[in-house]
Amino acid sequence: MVDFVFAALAIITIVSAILALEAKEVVYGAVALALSFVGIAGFFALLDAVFLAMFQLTVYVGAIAVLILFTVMLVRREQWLKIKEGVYRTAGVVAAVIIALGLGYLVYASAFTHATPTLEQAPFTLLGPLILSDYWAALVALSLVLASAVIGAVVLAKLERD
Amino acid sequence: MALIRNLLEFLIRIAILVVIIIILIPILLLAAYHLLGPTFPIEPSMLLDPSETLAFTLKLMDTDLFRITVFPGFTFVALYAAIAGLWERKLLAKMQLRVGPLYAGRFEGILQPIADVLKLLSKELVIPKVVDRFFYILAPLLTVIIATAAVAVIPVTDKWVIARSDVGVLVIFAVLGFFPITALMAAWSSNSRYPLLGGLRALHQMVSYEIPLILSALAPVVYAGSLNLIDIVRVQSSVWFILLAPVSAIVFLVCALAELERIPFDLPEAEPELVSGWLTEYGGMNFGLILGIAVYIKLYVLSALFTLLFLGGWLGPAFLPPEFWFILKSFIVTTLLLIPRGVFPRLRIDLLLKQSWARYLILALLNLLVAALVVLSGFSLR
Amino acid sequence: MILEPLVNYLFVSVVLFAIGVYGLVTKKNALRMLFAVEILINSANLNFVAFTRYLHPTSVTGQALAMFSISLAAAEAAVGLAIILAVFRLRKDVDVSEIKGLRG
Repeated sequence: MVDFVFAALAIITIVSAILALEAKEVVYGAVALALSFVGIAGFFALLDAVFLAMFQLTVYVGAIAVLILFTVMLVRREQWLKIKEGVYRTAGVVAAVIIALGLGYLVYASAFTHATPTLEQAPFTLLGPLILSDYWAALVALSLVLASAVIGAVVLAKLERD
Repeated sequence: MALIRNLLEFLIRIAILVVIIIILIPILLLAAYHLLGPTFPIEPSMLLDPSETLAFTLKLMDTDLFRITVFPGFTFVALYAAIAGLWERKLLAKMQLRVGPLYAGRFEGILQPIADVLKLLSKELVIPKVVDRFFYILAPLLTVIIATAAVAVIPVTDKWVIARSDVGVLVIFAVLGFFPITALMAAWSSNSRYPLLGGLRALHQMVSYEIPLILSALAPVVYAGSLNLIDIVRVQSSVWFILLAPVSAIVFLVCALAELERIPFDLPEAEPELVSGWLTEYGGMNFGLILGIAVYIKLYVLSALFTLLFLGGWLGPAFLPPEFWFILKSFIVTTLLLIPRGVFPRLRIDLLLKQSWARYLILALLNLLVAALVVLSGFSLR
Repeated sequence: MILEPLVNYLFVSVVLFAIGVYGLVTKKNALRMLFAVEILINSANLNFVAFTRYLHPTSVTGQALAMFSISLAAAEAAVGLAIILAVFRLRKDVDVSEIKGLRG
């Protein structure tokens, strides 16, 4: 028995992910991508990770999707509608189907994936101590990566002024 | 012949409308019954017995339906928005030695919001031929939906709240993050230069000012040790956070002004340069939805958030109900956000963005750091 | 609250992953490839959270990993979009099969 909310979220996420790649107009694609991020946030909320769901919305929709939409609007050209993807299309479909079937079989065949849900859940306040104790090195590395990404993005954006 | 054809067309449209209403309303009612049925505390028999009226009303007021549609929900917020709109016009008029709306409602133009809405509703919905119809129609609706979604987690008191969330502050910022997308959708779909420029400006501004806004809201969160808005207010029973984090409060107010695209930060709709910014191609109720409802609901959300985070929410002397204190404080904050429109000139866009990154971000970070140090040194309000 | 069995979440994640791979293989438009990468990252995040919720319900390790991954995705999107903008300024095109020379 599939829960109604789960089914709706799955359909929204998957259909908008396909639309993001296949919509003729790239702006539509970008908005569909944002909708797909919202769907994933919905899954996080279903999995009792409300904090992460809001984090996903703030970062993915509030920052990444907006940046993508902004870039799309800056670089959009009518000629894009004519970019051909003919030769690779079959290869892409075949690769996707193989991966879907292979991973799907693995998921279905392994024993622990049929785990039943438990009622106990962890409060999100555990996240802070966990990140600052066990994963402190990852946090430092992440902050360095973010800083270098910001600097790199600024340098790239200033290229044209030279 | 043309007349008869027009008449026929009109009749057919009416018939379609009636059929849709006749089919849709029972479906909606059924859906509502199925969704609410098990939890809805009202028996149909209560409607027939006059002596049960009070109990019926009280029970109705205790349902989620009432909360969503009436009190902390949409009706209250729309009313607040209408009053704020009228208050803005009268206040600015007084500041600039004008009279403002004067005739509607006979007393100081008190019915002006109703007149405005009637005027917008009676206008023809003009959809230009070259626009992208789907996004053009979707953008105003989405703007209102998103603005209203933020209201769900705002507690008017600890009893009057639609959704109790442990991460309420974050929910509001997640919802605020959607606004640039709808602004960009409106700007792009209008297929016109002024809206596009206005949309890009709006995007720059909202994205730049969201960061100091979030950081300044984090200082109260650090003091309270919770993201739950109700908890944050309860912690303030001894001292309001505006006294502990005054710099954050100021930064929050300034960034709220920028998020709302109000003067001195109203570059996205700077009239002398961009006609009306990303709203240029909108008219009638489409325009009314964005500007008349969504913007003022956003104004309410940010004022209410400021009240909850810095001004102790519904806490106040007990001789008046807590709901009153919350609404009074929110209204004072709203007034503070309205006043700059009559006082300040408009900024230039590069100065505006520079200010966000070079001043407000640093100020908010500094106050956050102070808050963290204070809490680390053992200070606790709990 | 009704919770699905874990396998349903994994199926959604697998489908998203396949869509992402399809996009990476077929698309020549740099922006679409970025979309595909984002979809891939999202499907991985979904797996992190779903596994933790079902197999270790009292820990938040998966959520922490997903947070790291989301932050990395933000950095990746910022740099990727900056590169796309820079390439577009130089070449007036974002078709990756047309971008061959490293000299502008």
